[in-house]
Amino acid sequence: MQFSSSIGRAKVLVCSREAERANIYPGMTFTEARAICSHIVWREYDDKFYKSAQKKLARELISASPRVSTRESGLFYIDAEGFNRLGGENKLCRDVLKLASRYGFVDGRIGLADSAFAARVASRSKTKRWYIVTPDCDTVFLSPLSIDFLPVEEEAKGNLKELGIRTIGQFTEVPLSSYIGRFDSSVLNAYELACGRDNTQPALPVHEKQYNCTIDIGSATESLRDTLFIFKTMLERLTRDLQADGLCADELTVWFFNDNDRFDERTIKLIRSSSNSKFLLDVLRLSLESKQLIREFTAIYLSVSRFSKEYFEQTKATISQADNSGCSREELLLTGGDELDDSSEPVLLLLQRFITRLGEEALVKPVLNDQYLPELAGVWIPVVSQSNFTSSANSSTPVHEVFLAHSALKTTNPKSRKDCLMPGLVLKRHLPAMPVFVQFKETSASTEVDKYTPFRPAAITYRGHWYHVNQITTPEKISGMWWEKPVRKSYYVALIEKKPELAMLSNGAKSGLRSILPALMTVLLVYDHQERGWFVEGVFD
Amino acid sequence: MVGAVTVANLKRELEHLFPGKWLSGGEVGRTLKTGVEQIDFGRSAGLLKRRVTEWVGTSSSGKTTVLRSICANWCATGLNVVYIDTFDRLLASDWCFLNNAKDEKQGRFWVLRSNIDTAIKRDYVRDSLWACEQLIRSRVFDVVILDLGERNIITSNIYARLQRALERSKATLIVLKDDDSSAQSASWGTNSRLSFNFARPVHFELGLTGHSDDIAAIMPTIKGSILRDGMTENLEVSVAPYVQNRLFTHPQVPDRSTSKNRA
Repeated sequence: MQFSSSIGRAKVLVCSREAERANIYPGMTFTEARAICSHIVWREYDDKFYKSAQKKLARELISASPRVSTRESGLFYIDAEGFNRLGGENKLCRDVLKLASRYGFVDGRIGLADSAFAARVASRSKTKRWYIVTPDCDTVFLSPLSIDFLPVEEEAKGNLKELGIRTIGQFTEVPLSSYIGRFDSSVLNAYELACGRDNTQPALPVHEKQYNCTIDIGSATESLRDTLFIFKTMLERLTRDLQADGLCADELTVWFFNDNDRFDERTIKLIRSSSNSKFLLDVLRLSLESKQLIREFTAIYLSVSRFSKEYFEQTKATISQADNSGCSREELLLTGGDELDDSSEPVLLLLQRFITRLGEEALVKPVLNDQYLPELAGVWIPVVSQSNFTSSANSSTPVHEVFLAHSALKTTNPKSRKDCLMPGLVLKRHLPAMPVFVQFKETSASTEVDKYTPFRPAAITYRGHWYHVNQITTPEKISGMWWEKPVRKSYYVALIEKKPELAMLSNGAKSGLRSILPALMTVLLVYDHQERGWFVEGVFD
Repeated sequence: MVGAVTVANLKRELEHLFPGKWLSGGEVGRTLKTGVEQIDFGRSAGLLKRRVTEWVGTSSSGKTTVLRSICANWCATGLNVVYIDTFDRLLASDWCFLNNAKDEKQGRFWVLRSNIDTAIKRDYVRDSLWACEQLIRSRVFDVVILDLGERNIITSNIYARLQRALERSKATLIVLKDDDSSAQSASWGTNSRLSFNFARPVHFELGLTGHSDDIAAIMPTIKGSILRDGMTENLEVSVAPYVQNRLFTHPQVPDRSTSKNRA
């Protein structure tokens, strides 16, 4: 799946056969796919990851045939010429499938034909794992097949069907001149392919340069200073190579060996591509400080596991406001700070430090989420842009502008009573929610209030103390999430107060101790209908 | 002329001993206004930059509510604020209005979370203190809020280290503590101490029926005191109720149907 701005609008790029059976197709949005299949499992599309896996497999396939090319994800073109004396084409197909399955790709399929297009169509056979088209019979093989196999837009296919052209044979029967001017170039190209004229040929694989180096020290080392010195030497060599090729590192991989035992392996993602050895050394140092080595090492392997082309950009010119700090600032409105530019050097270094030591999801910003439950009404989104939707994305739904404008109006409400504070109290959650004992108030069923508060708590326990419920709000009853984990809760805001007459009910051992709990508290009291229990989910602070 | 220089030097000396009181004019830029009148125009005259301020109160005292409003004011004026939530107690929905992506001039509000629910076991307090120092040293943020909850473990050594970091930055450090507000002295190394607690009168917002037992929102008054240089000043603030959408505040439901043109 590829993200644009939110999970809801993310588009399906590739899907499994099982997903296709559930009527999910590439091009659908996540919302559409989930509406069809509630238990859809999705993964973020990682182009580099798939390409590296494809290249790895292509390198292995060379042992079956010398010419191997890769195209779209999961598609390989293999030269099958001259195999008559080497066991035949059937043996080649068997060998290739065996090789692929050895690397986990067990559902591979092969098509063998004179042209690449015919072979590609043959590989989509539903009955056979490999399908060999008879030599010089590509057009014969293609002619009864539907035009859905042609690589053209859906709109063009619809137009062709409206003209009565349903098979590739019917498509090629009409002369090419009839299509010129009426259809775009993709249809004209498809015409050539359908006639068996495809110039795609597998080629010899291109040798890819790898950026890695190993240092065997010969003796055991554990000092950070020595380790950094070794890294400095290695990085200087690697960055020189990268700079010579106009590349910069995206990800580093480090292995530590003790003799032949690889006891530590770490992959360090960089928030910004860099070929600066000083910056990379700083990142490695942070990694070592945050996750120390468990034992001494004798050899190090350092590799630039991901790299990209270096591009040059004019740095943003900013005027520091530090020089203006001496000017008079009588009012808050005049005390504007420096603009926080996410791409500036101090911010990037700061983010890299936090990612290396505390993880990608440590530094976050709050974002509204279109959900009813208070705990889901907002989500924490990592500030590092490249991982905007990593794990928290699966529950993030953008809030409609109408609601957003309404909420903004409420929060910027002018002076309330004595001072201009934002409306509402701030909740501090208990993780996990704290189960409590509840004492109920006896109410007569005939009163009107009972309609709202049928279970009106009179006292609750909180951290070993009994509190009298002084005031309690009408519950907010929310249910939902039936498609994941059903939730049915009643949320009360309760003003609770320590009462001397309830002290005897408290835990005797603890009652004599000095407590930091206040006499008057406001808590979020929740009755979980699923769990059938009362919980304090947090205190308003 | 000599007399004026002597007075200026004397003011500097006194400012060194009692920060934030003796300098005026251009040097007022050392203080950070909060937007809350009783803090800005009382004895404290705002919060001092490059200094540590203690923000204390018991676990339900209204201190974070006051701080959120102040953070909103700071963000609105372009200041960058970071909140170190050591024990992941904040709820995103309470704070999302501080970040307005459409307004480029607005300051950022970032939160540093420990992600306690993940499987990785760490010393969260140690990491928070490390992060606090890094955030101050980065000179990126104007205000750093360190929330340690009930773990009041900042020793004088740590205070001294944070103070050294602050002196080289432009930031103000606010240490938020769940502490007994009855304590009358600020910790060593802190410049001022603001303590809060919920108190009466308690305001109510009634529900649709108007019945006295049908309460939609409860708002206790927040009382507090500002302690600086051995002098105390009381303050009192009230918070407007925030009534959930379920009662009389329904906005018009937006039309979510897909337009015909989009097909």
